[in-house]
Amino acid sequence: MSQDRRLHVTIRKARHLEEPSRLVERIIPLLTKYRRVIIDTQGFRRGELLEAIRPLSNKNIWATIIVYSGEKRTSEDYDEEITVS
Amino acid sequence: MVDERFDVVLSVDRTLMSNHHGKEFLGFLATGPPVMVPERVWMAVAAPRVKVDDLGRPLEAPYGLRKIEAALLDAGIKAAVIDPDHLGKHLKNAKVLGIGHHDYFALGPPSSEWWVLTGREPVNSKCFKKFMEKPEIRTAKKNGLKIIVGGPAAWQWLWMPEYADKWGVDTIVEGEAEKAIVQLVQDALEGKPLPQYVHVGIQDTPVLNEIPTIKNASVNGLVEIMRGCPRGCRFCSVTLRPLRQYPLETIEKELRVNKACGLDRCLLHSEDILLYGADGVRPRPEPLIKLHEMARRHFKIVGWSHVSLSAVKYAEENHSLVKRLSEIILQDEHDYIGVEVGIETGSPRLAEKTMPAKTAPYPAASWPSIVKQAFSIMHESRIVPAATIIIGLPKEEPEDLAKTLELIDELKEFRSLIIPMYFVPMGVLKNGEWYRVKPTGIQLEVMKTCLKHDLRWIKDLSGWYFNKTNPFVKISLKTVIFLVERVAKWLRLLS
Repeated sequence: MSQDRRLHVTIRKARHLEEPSRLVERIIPLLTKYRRVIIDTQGFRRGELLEAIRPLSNKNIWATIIVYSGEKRTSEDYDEEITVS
Repeated sequence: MVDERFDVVLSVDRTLMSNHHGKEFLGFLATGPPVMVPERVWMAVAAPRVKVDDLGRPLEAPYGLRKIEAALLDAGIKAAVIDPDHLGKHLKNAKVLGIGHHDYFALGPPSSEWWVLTGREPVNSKCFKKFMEKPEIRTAKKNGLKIIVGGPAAWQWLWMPEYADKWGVDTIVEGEAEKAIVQLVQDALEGKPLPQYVHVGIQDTPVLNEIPTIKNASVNGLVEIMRGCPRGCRFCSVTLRPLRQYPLETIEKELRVNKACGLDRCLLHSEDILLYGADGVRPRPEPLIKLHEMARRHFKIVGWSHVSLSAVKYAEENHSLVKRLSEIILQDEHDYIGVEVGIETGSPRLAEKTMPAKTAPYPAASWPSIVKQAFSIMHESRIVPAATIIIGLPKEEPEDLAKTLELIDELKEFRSLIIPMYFVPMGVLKNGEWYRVKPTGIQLEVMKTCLKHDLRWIKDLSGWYFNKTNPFVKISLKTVIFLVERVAKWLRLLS
């Protein structure tokens, strides 16, 4: 894991696509490379969002992860930005 | 009355905001539903009210809340831990309510087990729900109060999202929060949007000099001597955190805080007390003797939270250290010290799969023998283990439980309590009916054998444990023990 690398992830929930938690599971392998990960989520109801991020709690993840509902674009610079939907 | 306003109020329900009559073990009663007595009596025994000052600040509060309070005060934020019965006058002005808990919804051990076995919701979960429904919290929430929840049970909110929704929880913080909470609270006070969830990663986990010293007394004088654990058991989350040992001076500062607040006892806390200053997993005499002598200089009563059985065996066999430490902290020949230990399984096969380093420096294959020798050492040194057994570990087979039964039988001569814990895999929480998952025949047999063992030793230990306990607690508990024993005999559980 890099000392300072930052990742920005946007997770968009598309209708009839897949279980919300699967979207989060897809990004977990990426997280090992970063120290800090900001996740913006779009299209989730609140309860759905908490269910969706359960894999973050179950897994042994070393990065700090901050999850927002809706867009929380900060002035921080990210080393990488990805969108999953 | 003094008028003082706090921007941040830290609190929790009564099951944790209590000193449990000065006996930590009584606090565990709150993890179950009431047994054979009304809930009010059960709660009065497990979690009596604590003394508070004019502002409703408790004399003793959970250590985790005290650490968060200290972090916020050090950052110049007006924060205080407030007793749950005194929230009203503070929440009118506060902008943030911070809550920390060990088991919000009774999903962790041993609460989940009592729920499974009895089909009744444990009092800790019921009490927490009542706490969140308090009119003063609901009114403050409507007026813009931000609610931040954390502590070891923060994960449970992800499995109970309907409650986060219902009560308007703004942020869930998982992991050690002393650093993260300051920024979150500052954002809340400045009206910035808060994240829904924060997972504190390794590099944002506080290093030793970033962990603040508590400013006010902790429940029963608990002070941390180490954080993290090097043993890597697969069922344990503590293991995921880096290992940090506080220097003696830092520990002494917290002992002094508790003493200055009028406490007459201390409880040394670590996942494994005997690893303080150890060479890896091999205990060393010097740091442990210094630590215990220092604690004794400040308090007549010194307790331990947890030790590992392999460390007990190593420390005694190589340095006669368990006996030496017990001589330092136990001055009266009729006294005992209680401590939590983990047996988890009697099966070497399962030990090797799930907790290979728990047996270190000994091989997992000799686990049952390590357990027996450690129990024997503690028996001789007047240390009473309250041991956990985990039932339903992943890949558990009936043969593993048969080995566990054999081991429990071999421990019958040693003064101890053995508590079966039900492992609840997260997957079964999904269907909402997890508490109806019934144990198998042999799992029940393990539970019955533990009950038999415990009823025998509870009688033996009650003279010591109830010594200087208030009469109401003594009578209530003796009644419960008597009734449980009668029912167990009637059901032929003890035959």
